Amino acid sequence: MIAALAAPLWASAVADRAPDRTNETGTIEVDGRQVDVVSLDGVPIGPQWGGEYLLGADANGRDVMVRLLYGARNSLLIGIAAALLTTILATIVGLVAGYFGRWVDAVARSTLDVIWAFPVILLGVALGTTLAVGGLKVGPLELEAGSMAISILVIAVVYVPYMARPIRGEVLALREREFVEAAHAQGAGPLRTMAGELLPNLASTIVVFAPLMVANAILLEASLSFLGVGVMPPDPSWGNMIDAGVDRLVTAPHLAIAPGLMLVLTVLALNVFGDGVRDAFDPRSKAAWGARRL
Amino acid sequence: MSRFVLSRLAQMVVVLFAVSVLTFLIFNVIPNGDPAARMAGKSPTATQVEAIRAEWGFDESLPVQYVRTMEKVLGGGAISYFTQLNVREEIVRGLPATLSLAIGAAILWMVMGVALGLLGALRAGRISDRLLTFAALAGVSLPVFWLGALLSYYLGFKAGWFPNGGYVPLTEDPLDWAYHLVLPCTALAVLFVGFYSRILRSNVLDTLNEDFVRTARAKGLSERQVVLRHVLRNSLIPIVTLWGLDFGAVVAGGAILTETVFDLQGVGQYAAESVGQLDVPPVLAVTLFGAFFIVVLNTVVDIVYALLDPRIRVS
Repeated sequence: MIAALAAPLWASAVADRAPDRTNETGTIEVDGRQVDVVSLDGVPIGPQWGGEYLLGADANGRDVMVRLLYGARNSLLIGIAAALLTTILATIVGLVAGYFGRWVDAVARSTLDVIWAFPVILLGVALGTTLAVGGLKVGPLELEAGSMAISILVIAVVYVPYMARPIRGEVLALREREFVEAAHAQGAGPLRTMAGELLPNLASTIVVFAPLMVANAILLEASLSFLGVGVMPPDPSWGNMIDAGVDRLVTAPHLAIAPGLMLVLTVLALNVFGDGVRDAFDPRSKAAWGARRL
Repeated sequence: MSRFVLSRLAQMVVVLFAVSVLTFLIFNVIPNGDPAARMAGKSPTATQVEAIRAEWGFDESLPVQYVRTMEKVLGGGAISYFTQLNVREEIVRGLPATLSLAIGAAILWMVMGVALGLLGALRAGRISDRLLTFAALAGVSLPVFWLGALLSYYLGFKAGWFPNGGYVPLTEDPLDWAYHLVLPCTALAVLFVGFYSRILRSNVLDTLNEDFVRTARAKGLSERQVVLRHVLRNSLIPIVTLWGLDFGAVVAGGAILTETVFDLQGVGQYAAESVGQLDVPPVLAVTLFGAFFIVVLNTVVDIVYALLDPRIRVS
């Protein structure tokens, strides 16, 4: 996992070609012969296992390995940023709803329930499609259509209920405890109580959720890009590389297999890590499994 | 009991309304730009956009827009401005394929998930349990569109063991129908098998420590009877609720990726193709009908549950 996370950071140093440099008519030397990178009938060259075109070329003669590394940048950036945003939003919603209770809680809970009624992928697709056309403009927040910030926002919002619900439940239990009462007696206001007393007690839940949320976010990003509403070509992401590869599975299977393997290994590493974290912090918790829905 | 049903139904109506408002906001209010132009698709003419604006009431106040939008989508008057086909008719046409896929996959993932979860719990701590745990994590890490594409290419296209995608109606040829569904159902079920087996494993481990299990053992029941009659039965309850939810999510659009990869021509694929064209009305309709379906299904599950277990009605 560390390798998967580190390599993209040096993508520009490791790779001596730009990810969008096409080479449809070029040739390279294989076993002493000159071979077309993209053959005359449009079949790109397969993996060379060394040097240029380590993992082969795509239909436009672009180097798959180079695109994988740059794609990893996009996929990981979106995944991590979205998971971070989900965590922040869910923690705020959970804290506020659980702490104030009554109508604040009722409003928050029913809003979450309504978002919950949509399948994750469908909500992602709906938001992705509508925002892909015109972008977003809500008050001071203005995001350009097709920008990466839109993908991050969409993925983050979709997963908020899955994390906010268990956090709210925990806050409800915590606020009855003596230390909260003690804080109130000392004259701490709501903000101070939430940030200073409740938040530290939520840390283990948040830590357990975080790696799983990153894994979910990376998978959802790939799914959305696969459907064409995530990262837009020619920018590479694992999802849109698989999308392009699936169309050419028959002639050039490496185009779909390489990004897919990267995706699976990264997500698997995060899930194994998350499972370990869960065992260490909170072995009886099943809440985190609830975060995996379609 | 009838009071419980009535209050649950009233709750359902409120949630349905909220869901429809949220859908309306997502499609017509939150995004930047002209909703009429967005509805019209990729490259509309000015007259088309004007016609759509008048038809959907986009020049009127938001409540009027909301009512018009719901009338059009739910009433079946919405058409795709890209294909000129009626959206609701297209969804109804795709339903048999989507339901076939969802039912097949749901049965498969329940059976496999319970079997593997029970096996893991009974062998907790041994190597076989560790392997099952790892396999479950691998299962939830596999993106269904990638797994599906590889299955369809290697087992379908290359080996020729299975048809290379497509859907055959049940009424046309039941055998061929099932044959075409084997790979899609498997691909879709993998994620849930991993997920269910893990939940069942931890439920079984918890139940094994309960007093009634000790009583059953003390009674002299064989281990097999204890596990199947007492432990498994009690461990299944939370899973059955999840099963309803997940089945609903798959029918309501969760199978969008699986259907696309295997060319099943269901509701999900219809949505996916519309998404590819940035054709908004079908995506709007699928989202709305999908969420409605889930809300109604959840209510039905709750009511059935209350019928089976009187304790729930009280709380």
